[in-house]
Amino acid sequence: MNIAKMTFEVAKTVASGSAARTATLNLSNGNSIATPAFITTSSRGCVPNLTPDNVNVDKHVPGAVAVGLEDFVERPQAPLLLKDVGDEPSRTRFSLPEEVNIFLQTRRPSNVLPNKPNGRNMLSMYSSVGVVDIDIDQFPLMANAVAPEVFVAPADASGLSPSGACPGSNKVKKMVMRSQRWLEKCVADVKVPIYASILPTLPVLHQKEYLKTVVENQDKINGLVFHTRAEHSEYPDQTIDLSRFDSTRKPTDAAAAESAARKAAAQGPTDGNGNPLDVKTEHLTGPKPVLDELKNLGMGKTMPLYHSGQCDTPQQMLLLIQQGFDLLSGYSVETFSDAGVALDFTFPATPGAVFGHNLWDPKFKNDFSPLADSNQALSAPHHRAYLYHLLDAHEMLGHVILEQHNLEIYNRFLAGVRRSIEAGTFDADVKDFFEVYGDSKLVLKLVEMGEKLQGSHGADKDRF
Amino acid sequence: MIRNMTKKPLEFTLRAKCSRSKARAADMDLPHGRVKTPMFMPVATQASLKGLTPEQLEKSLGCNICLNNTYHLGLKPGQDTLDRVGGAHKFQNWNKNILTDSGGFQMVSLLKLARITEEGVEFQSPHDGSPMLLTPEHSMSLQNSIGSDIMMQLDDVVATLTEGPRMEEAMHRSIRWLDRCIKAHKNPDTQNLFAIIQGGLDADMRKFCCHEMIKRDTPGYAIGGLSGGENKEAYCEVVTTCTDILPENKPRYCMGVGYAEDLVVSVALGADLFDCVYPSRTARFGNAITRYGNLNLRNKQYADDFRPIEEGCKCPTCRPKSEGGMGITRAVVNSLASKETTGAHFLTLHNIHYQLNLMDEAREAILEDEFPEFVKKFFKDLHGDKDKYPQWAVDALRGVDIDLLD
Ligand SMILES: [Zn+2]
Repeated sequence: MNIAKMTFEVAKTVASGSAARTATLNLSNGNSIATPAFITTSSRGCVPNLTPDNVNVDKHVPGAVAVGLEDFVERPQAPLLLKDVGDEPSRTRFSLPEEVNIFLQTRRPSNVLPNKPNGRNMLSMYSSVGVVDIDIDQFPLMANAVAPEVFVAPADASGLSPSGACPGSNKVKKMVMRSQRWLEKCVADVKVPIYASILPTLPVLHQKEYLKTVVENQDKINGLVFHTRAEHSEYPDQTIDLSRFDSTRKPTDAAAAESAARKAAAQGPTDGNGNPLDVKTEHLTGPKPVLDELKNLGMGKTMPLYHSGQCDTPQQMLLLIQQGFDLLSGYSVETFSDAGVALDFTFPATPGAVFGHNLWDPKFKNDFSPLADSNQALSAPHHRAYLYHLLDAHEMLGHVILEQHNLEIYNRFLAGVRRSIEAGTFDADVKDFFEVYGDSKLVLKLVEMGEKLQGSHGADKDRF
Repeated sequence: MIRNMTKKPLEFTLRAKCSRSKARAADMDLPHGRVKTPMFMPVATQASLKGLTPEQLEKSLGCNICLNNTYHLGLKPGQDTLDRVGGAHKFQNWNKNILTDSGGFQMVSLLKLARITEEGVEFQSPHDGSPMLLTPEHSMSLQNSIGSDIMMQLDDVVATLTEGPRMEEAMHRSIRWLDRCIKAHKNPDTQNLFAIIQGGLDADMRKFCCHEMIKRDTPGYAIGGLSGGENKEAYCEVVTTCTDILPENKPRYCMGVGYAEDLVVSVALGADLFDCVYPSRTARFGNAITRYGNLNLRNKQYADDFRPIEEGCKCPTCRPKSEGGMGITRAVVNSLASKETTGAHFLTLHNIHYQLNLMDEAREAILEDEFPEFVKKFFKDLHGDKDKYPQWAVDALRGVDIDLLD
């Protein structure tokens, strides 16, 4: 078995305060990713709305693209990715530039939990034709056929309920056992670097046996993946730990969130000792409890930490970076682009600047200024009035340009984050960022606004 | 600014003529660069070509001229916005040429309540239903605001198959409206106004109209009122009647013509310019135009077909990665079709390339004086057996000394 070489070198950590760090992730294909970085979302093997010639790897996809196997399993008996086309890996069937780094994961970036339980050897997946069961033996085959830079090993999360309640002990036992077996299977059969999934939302205590399996296979595991349940989409920066940023700004919100979180904790599930489990604590503590336990169990190396779960805003990204995450889902780019928002934020924040512009707003009808004010020499030559027109006229090009623009803004944002960590000013810069642009709740108003404004434009159909 | 007053906004230079048919190759120099004819012009109806960026259109597809529709731009973004930004080129970041229609055809075809009087086209505002009037003066004013390199006169559009007095009225009125357009046109030094030949399927009316328009000496002539359900024999008859009369040193534009066969035959009959929404529209329904006929890539049979859309195609979609293309296969398009907009973008790139390349090949053949051979190969690739060739094409081409059945 030939595991391609992959290394992770931490360059700089923040001296005091948060766990933010910069590092270089060297991939088996010779590319390296400067972290913290975002992982661009894909859908059916393409960056949404972009043909590969419209994807500039350096500007739009400097990290990697997350591809979900879920998008390719319409025919469970004959998955597309296993169709032989000679010597080429199946990644050539993705609509991505050749030099892009690929993180292959089971699920597409989304917050939908499977509504059907997995089987002993079956993973239940959402394909475009409905739920399909994929035999666990297929996963190493597909991983090897695609030859991604990273394969995220599947874990059994099907015991989780959408209500956020901690599953019962029988379910937990099943989840742990299956996940152990599936990880061992992947470690044995997958020929590309593997990241192991931490079981989402289960407290450390409940998944100790699984974490042991991770430690036992540490030589063949190159990173750790943390998924977050959809319920955590409630703006974590509105909850307790963020009051330190938000208290002056929105004292009532922070207090309300804190009390809500306490209430939830009081009524929620309990751990093995009868203590209440705070289902929201994941965002407070981040990966630390899991990492501590892994260390206790004998984990000897520093691994990149990939947060593949929901992350709705750059504000949330910053908090996750403070918790020590190196790789973050870029799913929120789609949220803003779909809503017609041209992002305009920078890191460190530009005093007096705005976070973004919702270009459905008629106030942009005759605004011929560039998409972003914030003093950035961006590549898109287009102005706001044109984008307003394209959205108003229901022209697909609007979404192409917004996708490119917003990816470029995220790229610059994370480059700014890395410089700030290197300069030792990160935690203060995060505080400023919240002060200049507001919290998640505020910036997501731009998205809601898009939905409202879009409705007022009516659905006059494309006539040709 | 000092302008060279001797330079016209359109210079048309014939480069070669087919020694048998009426096909010709020319260079048409316009304010935003040279257009090599014969040329297919893709349609960017609302200042955007169905998901393609202006960079893709110019750099990847080598397109030097596209259409905008005056009616649509008049509604969105509107004349005021176009005036403020300084025209449609700046508005959509397109530094190559733009041709605009008059807006009249779109109104008559899109708005059932449109009514034509001597003054202009009366219609109800699609916004609030209030009565509005598009006059030749208003059309010129809109097209002056757009700043298109080639503008079309407002013509009196009636159904192609109309006969008798109404058609004759439309033809005469179109001549009168051309005079009003010429008078109202504010930028004759920078924008070209083309006349539109009307007259339905009546050869005498077409001839009369040609002579009248030639007297007005516009920089180019469009053959209008076609693609309206007439049979192909009648279409070819009209085109050849007009090209026999129209001056050799000016471009001839067949409006709304875009099927590959029609393009090739029309070039043989002496037409230079064409436009149609067909290649981009059909892409959105999963159709790829190829030299061997159309493929609907939504069909299941392509799910595991790892060949390019068209073997040997040099478009950005099909060209292999080793040659700087995207190397996209039929299976990929099948997997994306009707699920991701990217699938439609791949096909739009391919289809527009197909049309542009077809006209490129025709031009090359004319320059080499091998046009009849090109036409024969085109029909052979498309239909295979000679008994499948459409009779109208065989007849039309025979009329210009190209015998497909030879
Ligand atoms: Zn092609």
